[in-house]
Amino acid sequence: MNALHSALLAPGDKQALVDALALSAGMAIPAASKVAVTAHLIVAAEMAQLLFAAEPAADLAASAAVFIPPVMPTAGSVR
Amino acid sequence: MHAAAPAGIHAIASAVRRGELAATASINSCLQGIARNNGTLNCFTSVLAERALQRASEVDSLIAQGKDPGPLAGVPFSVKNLFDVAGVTTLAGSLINQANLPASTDAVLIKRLEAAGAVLVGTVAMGEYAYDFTGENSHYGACRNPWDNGRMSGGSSSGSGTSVGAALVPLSLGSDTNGSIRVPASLCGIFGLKPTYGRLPRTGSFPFCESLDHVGPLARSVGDLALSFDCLQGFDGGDHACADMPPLRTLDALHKGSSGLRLARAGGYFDCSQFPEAQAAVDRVCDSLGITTTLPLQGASEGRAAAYLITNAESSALHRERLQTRVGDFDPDTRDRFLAGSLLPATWYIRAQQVRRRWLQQILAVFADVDVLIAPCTPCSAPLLGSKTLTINGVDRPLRPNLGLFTQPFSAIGLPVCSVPLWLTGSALPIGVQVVAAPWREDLCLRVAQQLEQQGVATCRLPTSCV
Repeated sequence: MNALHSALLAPGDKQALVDALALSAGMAIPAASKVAVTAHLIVAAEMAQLLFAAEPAADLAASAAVFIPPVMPTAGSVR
Repeated sequence: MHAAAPAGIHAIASAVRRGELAATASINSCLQGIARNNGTLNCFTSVLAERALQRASEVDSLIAQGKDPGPLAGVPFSVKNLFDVAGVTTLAGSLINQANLPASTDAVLIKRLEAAGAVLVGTVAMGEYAYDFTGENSHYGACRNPWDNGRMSGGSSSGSGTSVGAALVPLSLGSDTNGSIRVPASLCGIFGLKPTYGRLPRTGSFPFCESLDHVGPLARSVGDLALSFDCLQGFDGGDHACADMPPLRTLDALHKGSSGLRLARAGGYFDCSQFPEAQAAVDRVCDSLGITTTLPLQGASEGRAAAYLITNAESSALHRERLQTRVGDFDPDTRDRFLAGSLLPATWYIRAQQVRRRWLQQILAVFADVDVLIAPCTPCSAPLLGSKTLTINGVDRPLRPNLGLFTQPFSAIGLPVCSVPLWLTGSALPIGVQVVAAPWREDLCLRVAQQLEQQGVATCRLPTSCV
């Protein structure tokens, strides 16, 4: 289980955790956005929790570590 | 010559090719319809009247010379404003992109439609940077639902949904990363096709999340959808994910309907008994097709979660510089999601990619025994503008991400899906149902959709307020 999503989903003050994440990522979170960003991160943590609980890790590791779409990108970009 | 606005693609193109309708008359009629209705609907962000009339006169010249202008002769169409249009700044629903230079050339799919005789009449609204299922946009205002102007059009291809739903144009190009063609098709009551990932080139479009981005058509009938899709196909090296696949001739196969196909209902994650409208719509489709098998589709819930995280991480990375330098110029609803996405741990993203791969393996195993799956599209018909929550399992959840609750798992793994519109008894609003097939089998989605249309189960109605 990933420690960060456990921390985000646990009761308690999450603002310090979000501030620390933002600082490390070089992002400035506007004051007006802090509550909403934290709420979105909690939803993301719920999604992550679902993924980590989904299958035994070894089973998943047998799949490609990175998704391979039906068409393998080669080079370039769409713009 | 007569007003052609309510006519479909086939009707317009046939009349133009027979010389019974001038392409310029078709386009003038279309432009008049836009002028009458856009103030209310707020779906067009640019109307390209001069370009369209010039193009239409070229089509008429070809007719006058006895030449065939193509299968889409004189058919007006709109494009989501993330497609490049020569001379127009590609907004992608944002304020920030207003500072960009106008595009120097048209997106490849616009060129293909015009090479087939169609005529681009304008660009249409979308949610900011495509991170939206509602059609709301704080910069440009909400794109309104043609059936009730106080309700959402759906997004992020909101203008595509409304411009086709209101019959202002018979065809629009949209994009679908997690459901952005299918959700507005459902809420506006039209047909939408999200092709297989890699089928149609995205060259000349503004990306959202490249490993999930698809482009495709929205139209008012299955035949029109198939005809336009057939004109759009083909490899283009400008999109690194575009497949060099032989084009399908889907139009020619429509008459087969569901004959010989193995059909099943998507259960498990797609059980929509808590959403009465979605449940009734899926019931009606399954009853009509005689479907008695329901499959649990193991892995769908996790596949959706994976798509959620991958979208959040990849799109935030795309906009990182804009978030650092112009955060105040974002729509607050998208800004906060992008900001959250920029903080996601790498372990979550990698796990999401692993689970996504696993989900693809699981669904491919299902398609060994089934040809087409039927699933709900949106959990409800169009919500009121300004709605913020959707009740799921008795808990109020954010509406914005959850309108795509049922569309997201399929786009996560690139499956082709056709959204078909239904009108439930007593309802004043349409709702869609998804028809899903294995990779590269858009023809099967469209065949089943065609059968539903012929049975009168899936229908595209004309809102009288927009005629």
